[in-house]
Amino acid sequence: MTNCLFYAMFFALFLNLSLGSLRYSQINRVFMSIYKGMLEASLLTIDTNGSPVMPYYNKETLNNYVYEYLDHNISRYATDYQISTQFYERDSDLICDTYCRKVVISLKAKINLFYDYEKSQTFTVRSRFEL
Amino acid sequence: MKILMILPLTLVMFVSRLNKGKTDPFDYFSFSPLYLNGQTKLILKANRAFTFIVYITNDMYTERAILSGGPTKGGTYTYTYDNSYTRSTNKISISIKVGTKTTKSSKIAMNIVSGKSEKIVDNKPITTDRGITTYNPDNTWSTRQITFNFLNFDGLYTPDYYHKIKVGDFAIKVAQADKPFFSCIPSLVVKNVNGVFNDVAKTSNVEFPLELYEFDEGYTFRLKDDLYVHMETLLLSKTSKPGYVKTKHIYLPRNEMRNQSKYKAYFAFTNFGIDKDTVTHQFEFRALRNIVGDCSNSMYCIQQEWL
Repeated sequence: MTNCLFYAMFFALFLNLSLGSLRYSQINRVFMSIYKGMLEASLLTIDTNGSPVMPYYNKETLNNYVYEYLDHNISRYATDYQISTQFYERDSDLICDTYCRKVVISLKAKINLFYDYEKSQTFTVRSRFEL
Repeated sequence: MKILMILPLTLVMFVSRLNKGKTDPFDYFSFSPLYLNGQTKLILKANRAFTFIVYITNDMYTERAILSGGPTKGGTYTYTYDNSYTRSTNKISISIKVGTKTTKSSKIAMNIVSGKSEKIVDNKPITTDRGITTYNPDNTWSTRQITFNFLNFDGLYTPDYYHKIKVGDFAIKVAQADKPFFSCIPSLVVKNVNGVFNDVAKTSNVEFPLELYEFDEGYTFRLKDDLYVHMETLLLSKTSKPGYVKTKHIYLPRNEMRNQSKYKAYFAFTNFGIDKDTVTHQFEFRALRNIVGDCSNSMYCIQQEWL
């Protein structure tokens, strides 16, 4: 009987880890596949005076795109998750309010009892001469 | 002894300075007698007040005074005068008076203008068909034709990337002495491919009125009227709408590079010279890369890093 219980627990643990691993890779695939086109589409190339400027993120548009994409895809693999975006000055890394050219997109998702998925990606606007 | 030598010299310098002031009454003065569409006209342009008398000489009259006047300030004045004095060929002279000084031009042939002409001139200097008569600072009269040409421009406009047509990139060269007499109404005409400029004008070609902005060698351009641009799509509009901001630039709509990256546009110069000609200068617009996209073929791109 004890052996039976041990094997059942072992099997449950094994299943949990296996399924967790699978879920981890599925969430990771979704998160890492954030399409750069979404971020490009959220860039603005003129300022509020109508003058041309180096492209910067339209926060509202970017958040709409990112949340829509992640909500739609992550919800299939996790029910408990948090998405966040944080905008920075491109060169100083100070938190930015307007004309932001760097964004960190973070995802934290509960995989199982033992561990969480937690990753961030940074998207920075660069001139072709800087690369 | 020294004082005796210096005194006459100072006197001569003083008198010559007084004379110089008197012989140079205008910064510029021009007159252009025209016979246009059956009407006789006279266009006077000067920088200050003056009085004048215009004389006509033909097979019936010899230096007959036909018109007089006295503009109280500088500017461009057009007078229409009695047609009954004109014959098939006429010569016109003008006597002008500024302060106490009077000067009279030689007799010049009246320009016969049949109507407005239209020319397409690509990458060549553009000259008025008929000259205007000007009074020169050295107290002489001369007839000059006004010429201009594009500066450092061979008819191919290749901006760094597909984003806007910067009219300030273009410049025309006009000789310093011709500047007071140079006048035209410039505009930029671009194709309305896929109706992307429909909010500016619903025509196949859209005309953007420009104004001249003077610099040392000639003039450059800027948009005459404000436009409104949508911050995300870069679509232009003549009127203000939600999501649009005021601008002085001609932006090209986003995601239309495939259709808009290579096409012909032209500058139109209307009312050029006394004949009021229309001159068009065609050029090719060619954008080689997009503003945002892949780093290999765009000006700006997004660099991705994982943490």
